Amino acid sequence: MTPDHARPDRNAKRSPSSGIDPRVLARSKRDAMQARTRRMRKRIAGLATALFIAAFLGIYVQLASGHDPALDSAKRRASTHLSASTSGSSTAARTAAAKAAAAKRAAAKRASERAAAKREAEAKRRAEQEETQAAGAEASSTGSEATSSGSESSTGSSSSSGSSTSSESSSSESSSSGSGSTESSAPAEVTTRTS
Amino acid sequence: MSLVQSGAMATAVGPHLFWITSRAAGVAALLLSSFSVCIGLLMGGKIARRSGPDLRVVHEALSLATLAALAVHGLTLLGDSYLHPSLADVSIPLVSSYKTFWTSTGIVAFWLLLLLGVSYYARGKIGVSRWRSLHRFTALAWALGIVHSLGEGTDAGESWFLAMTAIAVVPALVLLAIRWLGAGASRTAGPQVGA
Repeated sequence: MTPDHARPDRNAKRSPSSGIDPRVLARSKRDAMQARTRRMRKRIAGLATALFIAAFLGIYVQLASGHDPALDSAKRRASTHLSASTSGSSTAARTAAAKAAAAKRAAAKRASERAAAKREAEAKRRAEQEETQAAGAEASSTGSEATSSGSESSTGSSSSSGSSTSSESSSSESSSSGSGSTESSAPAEVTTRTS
Repeated sequence: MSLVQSGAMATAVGPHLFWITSRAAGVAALLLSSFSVCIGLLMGGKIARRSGPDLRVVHEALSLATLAALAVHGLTLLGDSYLHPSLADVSIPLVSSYKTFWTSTGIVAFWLLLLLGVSYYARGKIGVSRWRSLHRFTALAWALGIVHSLGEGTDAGESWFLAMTAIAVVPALVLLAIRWLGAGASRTAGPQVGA
């Protein structure tokens, strides 16, 4: 236990000017300590606010500049989906283009075949016409000569009827070649007809 | 940056303001809690005994700031239009369907920190020694918070976040290890002395 007479001595040591009341001194020390505590709390509140603002600004700028991790991953996912669908669609487009090119080539081939058949039929028709004309001229020149000329003229009429048939077929060919919608069926007709 | 650019940025980021606020508060809470744990371990150990009262004030202020930041972290998520969680989602473990495990870890960490932190003001009723032994679980709650931030955090994969977390967490882990090792050594030395 501390003796009572020791207390004034300790106070006297702490305050050389013995005129200050120890209670006042204690109160001032307590006040100073409280002020210090308040200051420290304020500093820590400021530090917490500063940390929050710094983090907020950092994330805000990151998000605004388009480098946010969450949005980046979402964008990456979306771009992966997009590229996958694009590659899929490009494959489909390539296939469609190849199909179209093949169809075009087939159509061109058919058209050239049709044109050749048409040319052939035209030549045939001309030849037959010339033949008919020549036969007609021959018959008219020798009509009064023999009695067997009637059989000749009948042959000529038959041949002319044949030529008319061939001209009909050629006209039907030309009409079929003119209509684009019947392109697929036309070559078959042409081939059967030409053969 | 021009006024138009900053205005465009604000418009683009506008819908994410609650989300950014929540993330920033989470980052601030992580740092503040790590500082608080560091100072608590310094106080409890024999490293910084002399400036005890100052450290106690700083520790208390940092803990209160952490709790405030955690409250902001959870409550601002309620305003997020994308996630749109309910109050139960952000306050009761295993209710939220969004990353249930990591979210629940964070919620448990928050409640533990709140209860163990606020129990300081009721230590007269609890008993100082009992409170002291209870208060040790704060380190566990802090560790759960770190796990939550690394598991669920949007910025967890970012190098700046990992560096910042390492700077804040590693010193606390070192102090925790020193404390545990010291406690283990004194526990093993105790019975020998007694015997």
